[in-house]
Amino acid sequence: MLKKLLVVLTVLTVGLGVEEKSGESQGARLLVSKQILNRYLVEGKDIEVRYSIHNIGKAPAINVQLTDNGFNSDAFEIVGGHTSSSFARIPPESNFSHVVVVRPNKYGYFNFTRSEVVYRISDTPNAKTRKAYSSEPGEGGIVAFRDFDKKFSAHYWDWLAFALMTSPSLVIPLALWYKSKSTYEKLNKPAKKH
Amino acid sequence: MSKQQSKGFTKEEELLLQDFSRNVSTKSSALFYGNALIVSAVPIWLFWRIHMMDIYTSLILFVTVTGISTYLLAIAYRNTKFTLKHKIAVKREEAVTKELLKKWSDDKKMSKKEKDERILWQKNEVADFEATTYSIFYNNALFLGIVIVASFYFLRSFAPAINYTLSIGIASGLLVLISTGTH
Amino acid sequence: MFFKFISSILLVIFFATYSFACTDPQVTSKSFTTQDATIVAHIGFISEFTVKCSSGDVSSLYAELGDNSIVPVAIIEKNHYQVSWTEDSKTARKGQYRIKIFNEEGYAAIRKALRANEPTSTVPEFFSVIVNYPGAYNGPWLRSECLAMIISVLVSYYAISTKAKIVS
Repeated sequence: MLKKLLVVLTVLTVGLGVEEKSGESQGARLLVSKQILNRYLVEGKDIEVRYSIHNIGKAPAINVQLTDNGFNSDAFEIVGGHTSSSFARIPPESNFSHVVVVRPNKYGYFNFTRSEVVYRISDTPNAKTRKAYSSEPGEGGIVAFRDFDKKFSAHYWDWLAFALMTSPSLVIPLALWYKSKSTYEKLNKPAKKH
Repeated sequence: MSKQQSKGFTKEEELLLQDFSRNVSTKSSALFYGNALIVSAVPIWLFWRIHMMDIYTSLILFVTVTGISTYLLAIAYRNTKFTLKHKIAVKREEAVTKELLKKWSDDKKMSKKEKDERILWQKNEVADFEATTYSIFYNNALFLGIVIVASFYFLRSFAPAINYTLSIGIASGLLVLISTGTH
Repeated sequence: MFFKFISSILLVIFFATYSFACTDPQVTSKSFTTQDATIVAHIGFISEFTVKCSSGDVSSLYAELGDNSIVPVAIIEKNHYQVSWTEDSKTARKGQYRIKIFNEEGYAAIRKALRANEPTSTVPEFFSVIVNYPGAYNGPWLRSECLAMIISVLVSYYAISTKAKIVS
């Protein structure tokens, strides 16, 4: 199930902006991919969300607003970064990433939705505003912490208990044998010396 | 066993006496089966806690496999014991004789024949005890070792029920083979 | 009189374009890094900082990351910023990461240096923030089943070698 989830999450589709109009092709054009970087999604543990922002246009994107409403505060706690941020200016032909870390406080299937980006397509005063969406990571199963812990914990206590259960069956016969062996070997030794 | 001569025992008779307990006494048999049962059952813990087998749905499998394994392990104990017993008896002869002669140094009444008989009996007891205890240790150690390595290394990707059956089966079966092979 | 008028216009234009540049910035920052690398393949580095100027405003900011790339700094709210990036958990270096932050002026100087093929390290940063990465948990260094296997092999070896001695 976890493997399937990984496949779902790593499928990366790049969100496209609204339809191109002639004349706007010279402006900024942002591609945003939203990715979940986790191997496993676990209740109460970090989920790393990376927004890779790429300006493939010829002009800088101005006043970029990146908003992700996909993580509501009921189901997620944001532990690092912010889901809503803005960038004064994204130079042309540049790419960088924005990272947010959230922790789910529930388990079960969750649909990771796309985020929204709004920007002005150049720094000229009458530049148009464009709205675009990121790629959508899609649905992922968040595993209950209990199940994850059971499966991936080191089982220290279980092994310790096993050691305690097995040691009498090894130590007792070995000790009895060794005691008898050493008493009779001691009896033998002085004879050899004299 | 009543044809003892004043000269003592012949080699044949000695072996006969040592082998007297080949028909394992009920006490010894109970010891073997009890030990075999405990050691066969303990790995269930690993398959329950770590391999996540459900204890109730797998109950029949657990009981069956534990039963077969107990039987096989008991055979392995017995076979190993007999291989060891002769060797140990030879090694202990000198020490046992010395111990008893020292004890009897004041006792002039005992005949040589009786002394020899007592020494032989004592030697047999010591060898039996050491062979039994070592056999139990040896087979337990190898059984647990094979079970752990098989289930966590060779069979780890198998379904828990198959992993359980195979690892316990291989371990107990292999021990019977080893113990008869060196007999 | 005319000269004064011109100069005040120039001054207005100057302030209109540059506003008041931030002087004497007071920076407080906090950082977040991923602690558990067993469930995440990449370590997320997040630095959040607030800038207080004794006078003037902060222009748009840029950060220079460890791989020398220059990225725009995210504005969360007024005077509150975020810089973030990810690194592969296998190659991420433990310790302190010093991230240089440049203002508009510094960014222009870097662009100029890059065009002239000069090193950018000489460009003075506006300020810098520290991200501390203490390392992440990669699972136990020795898994218990490995330890159990080692112990059981050793015990079995002892049992076999001792038996060989008895039989010899």
